[in-house]
Amino acid sequence: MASTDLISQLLDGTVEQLDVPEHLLALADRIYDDIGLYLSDNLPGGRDWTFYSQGSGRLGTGVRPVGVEEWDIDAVAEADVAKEEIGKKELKDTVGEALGGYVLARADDEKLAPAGIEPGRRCWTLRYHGPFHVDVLPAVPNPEGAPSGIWITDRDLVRWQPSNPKGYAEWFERQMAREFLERRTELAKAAKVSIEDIPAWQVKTTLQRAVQVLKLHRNSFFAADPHSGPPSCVVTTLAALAYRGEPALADALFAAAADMPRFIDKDGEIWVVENPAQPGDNLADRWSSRPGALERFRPWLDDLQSTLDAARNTTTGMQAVVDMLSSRFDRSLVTKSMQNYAARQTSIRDAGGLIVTGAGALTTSGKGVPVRPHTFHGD
Amino acid sequence: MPLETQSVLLKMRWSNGKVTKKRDELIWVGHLRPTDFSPEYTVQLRYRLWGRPRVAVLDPQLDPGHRSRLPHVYSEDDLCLYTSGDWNSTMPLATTIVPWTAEWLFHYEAWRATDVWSGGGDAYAPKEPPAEPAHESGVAR
Repeated sequence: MASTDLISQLLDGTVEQLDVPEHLLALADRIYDDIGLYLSDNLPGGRDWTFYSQGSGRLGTGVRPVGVEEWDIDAVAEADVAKEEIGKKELKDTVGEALGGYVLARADDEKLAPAGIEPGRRCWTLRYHGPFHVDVLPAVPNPEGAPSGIWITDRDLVRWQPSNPKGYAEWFERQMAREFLERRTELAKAAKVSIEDIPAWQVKTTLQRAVQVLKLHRNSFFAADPHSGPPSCVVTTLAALAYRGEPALADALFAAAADMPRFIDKDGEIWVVENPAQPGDNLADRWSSRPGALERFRPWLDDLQSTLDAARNTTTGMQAVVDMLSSRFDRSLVTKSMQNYAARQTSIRDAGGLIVTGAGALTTSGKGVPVRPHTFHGD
Repeated sequence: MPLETQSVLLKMRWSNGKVTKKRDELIWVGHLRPTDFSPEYTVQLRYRLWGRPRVAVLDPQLDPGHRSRLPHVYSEDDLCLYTSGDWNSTMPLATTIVPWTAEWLFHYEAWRATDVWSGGGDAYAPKEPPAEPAHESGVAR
């Protein structure tokens, strides 16, 4: 693992800077609970409502656009009513009215007050004073589907579409279950609390980081023509299918780049990536019908592989590794990640854990000469 | 600590280096590669008994990149590895100066990438190196 360690750490530290900040994730949790309670208390007919997160926020794989300090949080407002008993527009309007009431009801709450509400084609967007907004997707249960399956409307409010964001999140979590539990346990030990006290969003696994890196690389590779790039649901699904439990991020990315194409099925000209939580839902549908998009899929992965290869085979110094990674990932992020990495070695030195091997290599384990306390600069 | 002892310890701990001794000066030339991505640096350590150890990087040539000067050096062939009090002549060069040099090279590469010195202290060395350690009075070791 040694030769990929710097690269894994640099890439991890790069995407980490694009994570939703923890205080916002904690606030989002409170918002979901609060809205869920309000909807249940205030909707006509005494219906039950559930309100829950979905999308990359739920999966922990979001990458905000570089340079934009605003986060996009997705949620579902699910009404316990049969789709035969409610019209599609009626569902959307009911949710909109209820959320409008919520905005008024919470107007004086320092922490939870939304700044306003805006309609989308099928969603509602709650704006907040902080650097985030919540996109709310109205839904009703799908009793014929999987246990957590739902019906949502299409963007034109004409057709019902089956969906299963909860089921998808559970499937994704199963692909990284072991590492998720290990890391959550480590965090719990360090904080001296029980595992249940560590929120899921505090845990970051190699698979989550790999998805973030893939998305960031995709954004860069397809910058001139963003619609040609594979959609995030395709990237996430293929990466999770290809993941074999590699602990090091760079290894996981090499394997993903090599194996992701194997999980695409072909149906004539159409590429199929079936939603693992929703049979019949082809996640690659819209993407695969864009002219030229499929031809760039393999080159995209090859580019990631060759970037990582070039970085891994550098022998002119860590600055050359940073240069190579900066050719594909935002230089300011990679540089900051390098800075943090180097500062960590200094902390390790100060704690007495830094060792130099016989070849002059810095390490934190194994044989060598410990680096004794010293300061590079005098008073 | 006599030069002979320093010499023996350097040979023991750093088997890829060579020590030469001239009258009252020891010269160690060794090879350090701080990371798997680094070149192999050839470094030279010169030490006179009771003097201040001086380390230079012979190869590859250190390069300040777009900055005008290197960080943490007294001069181009004299790295600033420690501050007063960190080192004295009772300490083996092999377990102090040499590992500090490897660490310096690591942070030099990081600095080339980030323009920030992450090894502790400020970016540039003070004008004066620490005073040459005072002669130990009493029994020579």
